[in-house]
Amino acid sequence: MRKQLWIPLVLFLFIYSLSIMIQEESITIALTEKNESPSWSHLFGTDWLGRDMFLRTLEGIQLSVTIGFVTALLSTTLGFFLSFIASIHSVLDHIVSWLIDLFLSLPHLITLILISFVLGGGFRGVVIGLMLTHWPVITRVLRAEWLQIQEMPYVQMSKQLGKGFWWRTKHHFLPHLLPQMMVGFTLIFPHAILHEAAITFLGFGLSAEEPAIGVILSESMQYLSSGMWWLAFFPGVTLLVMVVLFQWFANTWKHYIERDRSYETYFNN
Amino acid sequence: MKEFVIKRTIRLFTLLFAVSFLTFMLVYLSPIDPVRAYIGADMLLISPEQREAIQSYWGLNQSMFLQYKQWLTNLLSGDFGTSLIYRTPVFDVISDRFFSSILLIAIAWVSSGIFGMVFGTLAAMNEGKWLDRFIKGYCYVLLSTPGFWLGLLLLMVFSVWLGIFPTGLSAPIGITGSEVTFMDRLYHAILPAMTLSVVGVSNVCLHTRQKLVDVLRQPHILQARANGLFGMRLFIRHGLRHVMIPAVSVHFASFGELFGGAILAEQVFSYPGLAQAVVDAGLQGDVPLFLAIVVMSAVFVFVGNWLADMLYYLLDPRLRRGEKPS
Amino acid sequence: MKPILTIDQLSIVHRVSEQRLLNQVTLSLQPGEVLGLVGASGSGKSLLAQGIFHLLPTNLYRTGEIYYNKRPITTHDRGTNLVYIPQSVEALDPLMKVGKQIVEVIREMNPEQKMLELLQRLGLQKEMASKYPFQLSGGEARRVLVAIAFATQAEVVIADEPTPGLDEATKREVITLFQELQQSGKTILFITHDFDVGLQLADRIAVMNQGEIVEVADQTSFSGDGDQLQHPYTKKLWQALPQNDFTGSS
Repeated sequence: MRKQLWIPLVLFLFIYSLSIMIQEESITIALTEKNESPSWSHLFGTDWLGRDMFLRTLEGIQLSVTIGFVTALLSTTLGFFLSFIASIHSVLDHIVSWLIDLFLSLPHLITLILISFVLGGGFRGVVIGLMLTHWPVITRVLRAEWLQIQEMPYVQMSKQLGKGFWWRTKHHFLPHLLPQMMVGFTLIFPHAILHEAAITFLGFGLSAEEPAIGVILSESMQYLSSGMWWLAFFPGVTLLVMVVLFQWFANTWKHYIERDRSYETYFNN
Repeated sequence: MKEFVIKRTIRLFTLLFAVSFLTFMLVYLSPIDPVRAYIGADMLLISPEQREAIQSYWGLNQSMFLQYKQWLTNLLSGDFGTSLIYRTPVFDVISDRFFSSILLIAIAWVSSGIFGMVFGTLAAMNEGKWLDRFIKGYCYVLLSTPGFWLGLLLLMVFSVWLGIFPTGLSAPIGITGSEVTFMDRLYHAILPAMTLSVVGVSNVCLHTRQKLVDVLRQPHILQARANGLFGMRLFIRHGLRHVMIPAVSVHFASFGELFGGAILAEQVFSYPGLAQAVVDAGLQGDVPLFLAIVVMSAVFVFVGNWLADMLYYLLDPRLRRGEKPS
Repeated sequence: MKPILTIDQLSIVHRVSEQRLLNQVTLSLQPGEVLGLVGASGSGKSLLAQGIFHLLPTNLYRTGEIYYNKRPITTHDRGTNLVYIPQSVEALDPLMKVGKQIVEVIREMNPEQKMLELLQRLGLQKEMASKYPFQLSGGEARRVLVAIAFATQAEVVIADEPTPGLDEATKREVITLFQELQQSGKTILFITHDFDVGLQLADRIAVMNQGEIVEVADQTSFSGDGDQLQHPYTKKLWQALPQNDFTGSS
């Protein structure tokens, strides 16, 4: 179990830190080496300007991971606050539930396009768009959890005993919600990365000057018919590997956190 | 039963209304200038008076609420406005592409549903064995795969290398719309539909698998097995029926994701469907077309969710005969 | 007489921890008798039932053997020679009409006809056949489960805790149902944690504690102060019954 947890995480962090070490200046235009297929000197080949695809891909990965991290963090925070608001009063709860339904009712991609339409894309637009599309799922989980804990006898007891709201939040709610929030975070993170790549690919996300994976893939489309497969293949595979590594870690971790519960279901069967 | 249907239907309409209003408001507040989008590069050539004339012609100088009211009443009477980039009524632009998109989405929906349920079932029946691990692994990898990238790979393999499928357009070039046969459309829809199905399988599959694993552990299965039922008969009668309801319902609820996937697939394969129009409209600031498609996609998702709810209701006797779901 | 069902040194072991949840259980049932198996919850009674049918959870395995008429039982005996009456309504498929679930186990001509006869015999309305399990009362559900036992025509009935959580009236009803089963010539292994119910039904009582059979005694041995009982655990159980606390204290 332990191995399943740290192997993917270490690999993930290794690739990420590798990508941080890449200096933007090291990606140089070298027209003499343009359109080369993968070799030892250029692992992922070169593009039509002779830029090394391996370095470009790593750059893109760094951007993707950063955006995924920021949005996952923001969505989780937003989810926490909204679930908190929902717990105050049943009217507020109805409003929050309705908002969740509303946001879940549009396809993610349409919402993202809509937001970027309004905000004009770019890093800010993408992050806000991703945040607005990913909060409903985690809010729904947190809200249910919060309502459930509120009904627990020991929480009711604390209330009767005159413990204040903050005391209850700190001692009863947070210890239960924190693991859920972390699981939610790890689930949102890879989703956000994939959606960022998709929206950028369509041209609504990061601008074409950014070294994003979506940009690389969208550029590669013009060169596919001339057989330059490496332009699309390697960046995509690298992104896939990163997401798989993280999903692997997240799944194991989720099981790890929920082990008590799964133990319980086993014995009830 | 009646109450449930009515409640759900009312909710559908209130949410649709909210979506249309919010979208309209966001677009209204956005920095997009519809006049510029309409005029395009000739923007510098028109005088402020001409500009004003255009604005009042489109009703752009009215307040937001008035504009919204106008737009909504037009929409309800079937008038979707005029597309700025295509210079034709939005309704024509959409209806033209609607068939292409529906064909694509329908193929993907049906095939991913069937394959997802079959694979999920196989995995659950072999829980813990290599087949189960293989199917689960496949699903998890697919969940991490950018769908459009998979589309690029398929395009490279089948169209560029093998040359089996066309690289784009829902009909052969040089043939007028009326001459396009259904088979032509189908032929061009295969690759994008395949992309969508391959990705779409994983969700249904994992769901089916999990549900079936749970069901197979329930006491009624033990009873049925102890009393002599086994094999396919046991599985179909006491397992599959339990899995079908949630799996089909999850699949109906996945309309939204499918629609998003279709946008990407259509872009990769230059397949001129509804979803591709939204990209053009969004990039070029074609407000009427954009609004219409956003609302349509919402209708699409709502109908999917609504069907999922209704189906649950119709198929589960406990709900149908008036008991809360367990 | 030859025993109809023999459980020979049955052990049930956890695959990982090698913990013995059931240890060397040996029991035999004579044709037509009711053997009550009593024990506290967690003593391994229900596992015994699952072990007999070879339907254990995947993380458990069994050693030992079960014989039906002196030959080891196979999966073919399920529902033909051995029938299982489980704990609760949950053991009926919630999505299938009751009638169909009875018909399913009948292996004769005209199963529909047979099913209706069975319903009538057990005092259930004909309309019951087209109801779903969630629409049944606790007592009705038990009758349906017993109907399934009759429907299979198996000689041996393994009943796993058929009375928990029932009110007194329904409990008496269930006891009557099982007496009917016995009168029709079936051999019954009646597993229960309710000592009282066990005593009312069984010819012999096997007492189980922590995965082992501590004593098998005739029903008649349970009288007075329990002098005829051998094992201290059995005596304790017997003396803990309400009516005996009375005699003990006076």
